[in-house]
Amino acid sequence: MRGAIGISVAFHLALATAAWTGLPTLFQDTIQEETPIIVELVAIAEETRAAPETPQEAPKPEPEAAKPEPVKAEPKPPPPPPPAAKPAPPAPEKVAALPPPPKPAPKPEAAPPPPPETRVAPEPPEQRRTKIRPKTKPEPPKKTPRFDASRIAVLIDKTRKDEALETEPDEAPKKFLQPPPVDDSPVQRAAIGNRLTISEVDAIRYQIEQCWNVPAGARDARDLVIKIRINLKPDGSLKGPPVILDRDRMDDGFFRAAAESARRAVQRCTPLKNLPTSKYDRWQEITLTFNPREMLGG
Amino acid sequence: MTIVTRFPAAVLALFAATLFAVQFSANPAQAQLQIDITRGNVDPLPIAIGDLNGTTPDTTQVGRDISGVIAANLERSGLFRAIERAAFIEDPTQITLRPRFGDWRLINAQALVTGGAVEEADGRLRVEFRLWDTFAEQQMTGLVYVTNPENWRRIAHLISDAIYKRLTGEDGYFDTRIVYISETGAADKRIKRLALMDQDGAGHRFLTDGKDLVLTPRFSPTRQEITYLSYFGDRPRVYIYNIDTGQQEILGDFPGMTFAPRFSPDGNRVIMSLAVDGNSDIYTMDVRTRRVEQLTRNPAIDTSPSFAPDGSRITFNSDRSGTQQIYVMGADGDGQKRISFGDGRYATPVWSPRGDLIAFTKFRRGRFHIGVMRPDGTGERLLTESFLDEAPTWAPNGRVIMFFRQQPRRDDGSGGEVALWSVDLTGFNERRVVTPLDGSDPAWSPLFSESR
Repeated sequence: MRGAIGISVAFHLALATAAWTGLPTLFQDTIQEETPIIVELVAIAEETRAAPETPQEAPKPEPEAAKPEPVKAEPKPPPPPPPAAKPAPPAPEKVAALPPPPKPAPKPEAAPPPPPETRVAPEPPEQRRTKIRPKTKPEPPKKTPRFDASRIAVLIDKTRKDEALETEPDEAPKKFLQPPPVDDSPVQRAAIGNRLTISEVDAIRYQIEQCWNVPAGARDARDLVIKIRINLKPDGSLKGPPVILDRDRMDDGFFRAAAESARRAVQRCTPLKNLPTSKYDRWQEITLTFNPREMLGG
Repeated sequence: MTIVTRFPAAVLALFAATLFAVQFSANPAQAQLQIDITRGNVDPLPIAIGDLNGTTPDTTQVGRDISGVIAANLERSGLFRAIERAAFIEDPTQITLRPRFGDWRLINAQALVTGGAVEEADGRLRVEFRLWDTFAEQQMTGLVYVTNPENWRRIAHLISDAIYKRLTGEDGYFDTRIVYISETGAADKRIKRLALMDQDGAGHRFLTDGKDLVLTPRFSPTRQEITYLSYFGDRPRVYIYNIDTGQQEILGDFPGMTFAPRFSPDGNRVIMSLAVDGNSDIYTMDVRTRRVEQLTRNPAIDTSPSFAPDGSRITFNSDRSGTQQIYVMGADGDGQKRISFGDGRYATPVWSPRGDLIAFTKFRRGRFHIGVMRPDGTGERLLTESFLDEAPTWAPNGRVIMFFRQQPRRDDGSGGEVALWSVDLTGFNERRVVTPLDGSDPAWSPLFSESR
């Protein structure tokens, strides 16, 4: 019997230990809806989060490589100049396509080098940002001068606009902007710090929605789902031009108009604000899916 | 006993394994961040429209006029907001190559229009424009037009259409005209004349002198022709009027009363209702051969027929169920089927040029509405409401509906004014269409450039 008791004690101890170590995690896991940590830790180990520059530089080539494409798209059209010769038709009005670049010659030269400069170089974007800001304020977003991530639901819900305005947003943002403590303790960082929470995803969503002029009323607007991939710098600005996926549909005028409206929304709204730099590797590359269905009532 | 000792070990192992499994399965390889954007705003798109750059005082004035017309067109659509010129930082007439896009973003312009107007050696006007995406810093489109200087308004409309199409994906509707019934005089001595104007109200002129009563003008979808009813004595006749030549011809003398003539999509037939011995049914007549075909045979009143844009189906109005309702049938009259089942009466169905909707007039609880529904009768939406809204007509892009609205007549005999109105398919942007006198029964032309 003693043996049995011993075994029983050992078993219970083991069970208690397992429960002690296991249950809290189990409990945590059930709470945490967002994607967990361990992979994040691996990522950190591999790419040393302390130095975001390295991962940043690595992806660079891609965006840059990708960049030429949109730019190329411009130079390509120049061939159309021939149509300019069309003005022959006898009809009262003649129409000819204007070659996209004002002057084919300056364009090719100017195009390739400048874009990289203005878009990739850290300085110009900043200038642009500071310039734009004053004007962005007077814009519609002005209604909610301070962005309060914790009250997104209220902010998004236009019917409750007043309520959103009434409240003082000063307190919440601080909470929201407190990733730093996370960095202090590696353990905490591992547990919570390095993943984007729902509210931060909402923060991105909210900012872009504010800038998007929906192509309303188009036929079959509900099928106009646009995917755009963006690469961001740690300051929330664009690393390169947003990439419209599904480019083969750009021949469709409806799709193109919708895709370009989505791209403008991204360009208007960057740099994105209030993103925790500590989680940069989670949001440095984002695929945005623009789907107006909800707004247009299917 | 040995079994017992092994058991917990096995359980522990299992437990541990399960724990790890939970941990790991909850950590799938992290995909790139995906965010769905399902809302935006429907505010008008801010667009900067610079004066087209002229080289002489004349062309400078034309350039200014053209951009004024473009701005007015785009604003009227409700989808664009022309930015005040006073806000411009860069002078658009000074842009030779590429605009300073930053300056335009600064004033919040999402698109920019630049261009020039030049008088060519042969005296003709050469107008070019470019539409820029200020954020992508790209030219979105650019076109050159050469024309007689008198045609500058049409150039402005063509440019407006090109801009509208590029930015919305939808064909424009600015290079179009409206024919309608101009009304004036006391209620009992109303003078009704057929009138024609550009979509923006310019170039207004009367086509008939008002001696004879005219009704229900309709544009040919393929030619600059109008069909309408005019009373000769006490009998209405169907006429066809050629806008370019001013020629009028009688389509035919029919045995009974004719109503609501309208062209088929190919412009070769006219569909209408004919009342023979007090019973009206739907007929078509070939414009050239004058051959008449009867499509409905029903003791009830069948009227106001309208073809689907592909010509395969016809929608019409009938009271065969006891009240006025909307029906759809095949082009040969087969498969007649009621599609309106809502509360109230429905009339004047008109098939959208893009085929996806049927517009109608609805009378319900003492109020009139212009509404739309899908050809299968689903998705009914009422776009307007008033004392009396009637006679919807579609812009050629199927995006805007024009109709007329009558004010209630007061006891002292005042009131009762009728005016043209337009409304966007979304139900927004309801606005009055200005006409010199009262106006009713409008009909929108096809795009000018596609109808000759």
